[in-house]
Amino acid sequence: MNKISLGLCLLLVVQISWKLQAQTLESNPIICNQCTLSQWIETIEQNTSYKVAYSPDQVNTQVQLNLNNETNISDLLNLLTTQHSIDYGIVGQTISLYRTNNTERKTLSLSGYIEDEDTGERLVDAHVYNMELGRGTSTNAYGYFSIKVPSDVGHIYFSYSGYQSVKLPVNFSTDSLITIRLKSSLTLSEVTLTAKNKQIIDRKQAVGLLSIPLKKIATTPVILGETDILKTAQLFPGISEGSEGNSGLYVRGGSPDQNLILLDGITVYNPNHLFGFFSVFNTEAIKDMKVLKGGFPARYGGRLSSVIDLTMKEGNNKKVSGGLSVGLISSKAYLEGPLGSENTSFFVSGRRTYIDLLGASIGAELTDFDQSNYYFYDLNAKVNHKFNDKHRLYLSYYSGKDEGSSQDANDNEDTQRQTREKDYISWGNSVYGLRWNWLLDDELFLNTTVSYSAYDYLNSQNFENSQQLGDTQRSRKYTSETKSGIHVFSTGLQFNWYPIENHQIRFGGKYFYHEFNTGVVSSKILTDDQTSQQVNEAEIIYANEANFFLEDQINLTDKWEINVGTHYSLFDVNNTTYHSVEPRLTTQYNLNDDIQLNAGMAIMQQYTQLLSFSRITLSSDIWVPVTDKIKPARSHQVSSGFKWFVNDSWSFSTEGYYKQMTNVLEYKDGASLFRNSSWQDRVVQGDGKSYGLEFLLSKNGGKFTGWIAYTLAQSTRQFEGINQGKAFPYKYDRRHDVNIVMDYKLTQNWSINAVWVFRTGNAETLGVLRYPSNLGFTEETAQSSSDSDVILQQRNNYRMPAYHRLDLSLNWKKRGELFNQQLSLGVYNAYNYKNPYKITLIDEGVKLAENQYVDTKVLDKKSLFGILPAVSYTINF
Amino acid sequence: MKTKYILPILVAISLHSCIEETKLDTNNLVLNTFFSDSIPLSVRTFKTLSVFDATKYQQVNDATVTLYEEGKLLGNLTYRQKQGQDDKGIAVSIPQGFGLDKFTPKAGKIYRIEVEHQGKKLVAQDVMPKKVDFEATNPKDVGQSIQYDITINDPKEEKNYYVLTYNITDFITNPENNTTSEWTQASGAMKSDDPAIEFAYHHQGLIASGYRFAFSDRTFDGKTYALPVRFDIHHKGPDKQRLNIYLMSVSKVYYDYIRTVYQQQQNNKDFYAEPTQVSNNVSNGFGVFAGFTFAKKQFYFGSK
Repeated sequence: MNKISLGLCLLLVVQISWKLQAQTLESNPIICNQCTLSQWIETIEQNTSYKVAYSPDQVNTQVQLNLNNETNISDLLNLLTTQHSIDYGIVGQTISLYRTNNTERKTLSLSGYIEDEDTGERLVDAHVYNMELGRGTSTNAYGYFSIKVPSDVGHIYFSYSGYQSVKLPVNFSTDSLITIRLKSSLTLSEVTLTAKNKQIIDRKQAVGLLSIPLKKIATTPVILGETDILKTAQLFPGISEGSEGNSGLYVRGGSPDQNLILLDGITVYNPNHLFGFFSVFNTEAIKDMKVLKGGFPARYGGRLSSVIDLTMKEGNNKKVSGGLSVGLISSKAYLEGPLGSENTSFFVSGRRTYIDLLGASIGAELTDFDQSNYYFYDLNAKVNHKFNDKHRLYLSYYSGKDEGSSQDANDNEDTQRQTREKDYISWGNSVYGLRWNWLLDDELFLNTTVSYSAYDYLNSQNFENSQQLGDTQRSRKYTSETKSGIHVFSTGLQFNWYPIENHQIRFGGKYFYHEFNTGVVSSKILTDDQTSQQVNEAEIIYANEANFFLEDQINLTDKWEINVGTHYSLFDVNNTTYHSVEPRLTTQYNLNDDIQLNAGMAIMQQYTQLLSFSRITLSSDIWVPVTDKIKPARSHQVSSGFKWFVNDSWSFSTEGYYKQMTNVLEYKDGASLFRNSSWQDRVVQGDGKSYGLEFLLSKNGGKFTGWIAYTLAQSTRQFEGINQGKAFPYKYDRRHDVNIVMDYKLTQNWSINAVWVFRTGNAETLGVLRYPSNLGFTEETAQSSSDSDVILQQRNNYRMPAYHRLDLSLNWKKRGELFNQQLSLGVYNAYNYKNPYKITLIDEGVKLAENQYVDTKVLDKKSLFGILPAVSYTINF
Repeated sequence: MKTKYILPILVAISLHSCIEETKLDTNNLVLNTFFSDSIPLSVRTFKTLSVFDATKYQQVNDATVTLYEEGKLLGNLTYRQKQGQDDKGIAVSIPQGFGLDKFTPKAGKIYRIEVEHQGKKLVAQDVMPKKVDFEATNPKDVGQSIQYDITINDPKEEKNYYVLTYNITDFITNPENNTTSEWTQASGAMKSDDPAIEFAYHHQGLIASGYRFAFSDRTFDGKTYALPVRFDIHHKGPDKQRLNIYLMSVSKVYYDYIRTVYQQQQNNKDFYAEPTQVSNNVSNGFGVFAGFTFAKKQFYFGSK
């Protein structure tokens, strides 16, 4: 039966024949068990001579009717009239249903949580969408949503990338709190979401937002077979790595300290292991990752360039499960499960490298030392307890550390000289977080956080030499120690409020108490005749920071959505207080089903910056706050773009941005860590500018998936006193950045993956011109014209050769009854291209004539990784 | 499908000109001149060379060089050479740069120099600083060194820059004919842990050591300040020695130049240090044109 056309035609007739309806209805019982109106209609039409006509615009047939399993037509129609505002008319054997004229549409509040059906993990940013109205919302960081829907309108879709969508009829007569459980498509035979559903998901992506499914991370090969969240992010437009193997993120021309890296809402200050070759985030422990490059909502603040928001897994509350992965340089394992009941679950994971366990000689091979050890580890843990639907508590913990040591001993029998050298270096993060979710009512969700985050760095060096000269022994000892760190305690409240239809309001505030150790450098030289000791006094700086925000996500129409808000912050340090008001705006407009336009602007302010030397990126970089001398850094960014869903599989998006930064911090020309001065005297503040165009072509469905990312960009810096005050290219200024990622599923179990990266080389400071210095003075010689060379070192004047490499991997997966296995074989830098990692000038003797040599400079190019094999085996149960 | 063209286009764009070759313009002129009331003027001009080029610097001798005092032309400088011998004893001409007879710069005056060569014109100017006297008192034997308190009366209400340097004159007696010859050289190094010292060739922690100390009156502006300095002098031998201590009063241009040259030398191989661009006050070229003067104290050591 064509209910729609029939219904529309009959509507008029129904009105005219209103008075004729009092004819006698059949009183035969009809039976339907716990049925919706739709099912009752079907039962009526199958078991009686009546046909039922209605318009879906007026009658929601998915309404669950509160009737006995056995009833009659008359009782059913009475129920519709009294409880569901549906009137009826009867013409012949046709019963027409329509909405009562004098009844206003009732708006219901539908709220609840979206979870993974298998694990009970709550899903972040899952989409809740009313297709009929063309509007929706998404879950917050704790899987909670709330949406206002008319009681008589259609269906609600619940969808999440990598999961099967659920379509739920609106059959509530009152406000309801529900829990939706979505089935992972990974645990079924591969389910391809329909194009329409894809649009529902993708339509919600705001300007500058990059949401990377963890599935993509798991199949993307990176160095030495280690999957890595941040390195995978570097394969998308606008995000690049510093130098080879470096997991530092350079987003839209910003420096790594301009990224707000959050783990369960808590700032992580150093995301790097092994000088940046690996990130500190163990893929096994992460549930969700979002990268915001622009269009920052007001709830985020404190950094200029990006937000990387990571959520740790909560733990499977249905059953105990786990996994073990063994790779070439590290192994990792995780275990999760319920604790006692489904209301409490835990997750714990660990990772450790074992170069040191394989033998110190391997480390020694890589260095000039007799013995050299290095390792790093990560430990993630999380426990959550659900008291009831309104209260839930989360306890998160992360700890990671890098530790290295080396020893060297030399005894020269000829000169009777002995030297001993011992070095030690360590750095690491510790993060603790306690969060309490409280659902105050269906419209108001509160998250309270108390957290502590710390980062510490320590480097010590001991050098000793002694020499026997006849009866006399001469000795010299040198010790030095460098320490720095940042410790931050914070507490905050964040409300999600859904007061009226089409509005989601977030507001809240956070307080931080900072303790900065801006670097203690101490050294001691002990010789036979004198002792010298130098201590750069520890400059411990305490600071208070608070921020407040208010933002409203508004569905203006079914095609147009905006997020508008303000972030206010203040920072108090040494009796100096800075304030900042930062307006934010993002907007999206769906031109049609296939094309979405978006735009955004954001003003951001940053009170803490990372001091890094331009020639090397080390964990010795020091976090420093604003002071009365050092002003906060500030950025203004505008961005705009569009996304085009070409067809079911292909999509293309592009975004342009322009970002201006002020008061960014840089070491002065010639500044040295070991010079005896305060860090504030060693730095200078200046401006930065970056702009670019980003393109992303993706294929998501089918056997062949992947993406091509291309970024065309420019980034410059300008400081008084550096480069004679002229603007110069930022070290990681990349004119071109191309990433091609391809994944092809050969069979059910086998797949191959390829990643090709190409990017403009870094800008380095390299003196390529020389002229004589003029230092000499004595009364006799007056002036000497050629004491030494002055090297013309214009900042970042030399462009390194372009970088490119191809990584390949072959993956085998097998799902079993008891456990799943995955074996990955891969090669890094498959065509063994020697990308220069560092270019320096070294002296080399040149023969001018017989027995006549002169020193000249030559370029010394050092490469880091040639072709490297990678193997990893993973088992999950 | 149109998208099939996107990949090759992107690849073609990205492969095009991603390597920016550094162009070496070795035709830059360099002007190196310190002018003083105590030494003859010698203006030396060179051309920059590539660091990959092993050639020795050659002075540019066909430039037109003019000097001005407070904007008033003092004269055109002439290129000079003197006769000498090379390492093998062969007679050679030794370039002396451009000079000007009877030129004595006056304290507080601004001097401007212009160098024209092959269509390029370099211009630089600087002020002649005022001489600041000092005392070297309170000598103490410290190991193999002798320490003096270098006491400076820093003039008030002006920013002053100093370079402290020294050399040693050995008086060597020939016992055969009982003649004495002098040999002056900068040997050893000064040492000091005084925080006023801002730059030295070696500066690790508080200990500054080297042939020159550069500092400003940052910590003692307008006051009398005593700077303890150890001089490496081996006065145990039979021959007489003379310690010559010079307190150079230098212009800010001079100070910045010497400071940045030191920094560059120290930082070149230090990864924990930023590269340094040497200060340059020569427009359209490189180098330095700066004024200085000095006060001197002498002390004799030895048996005679």
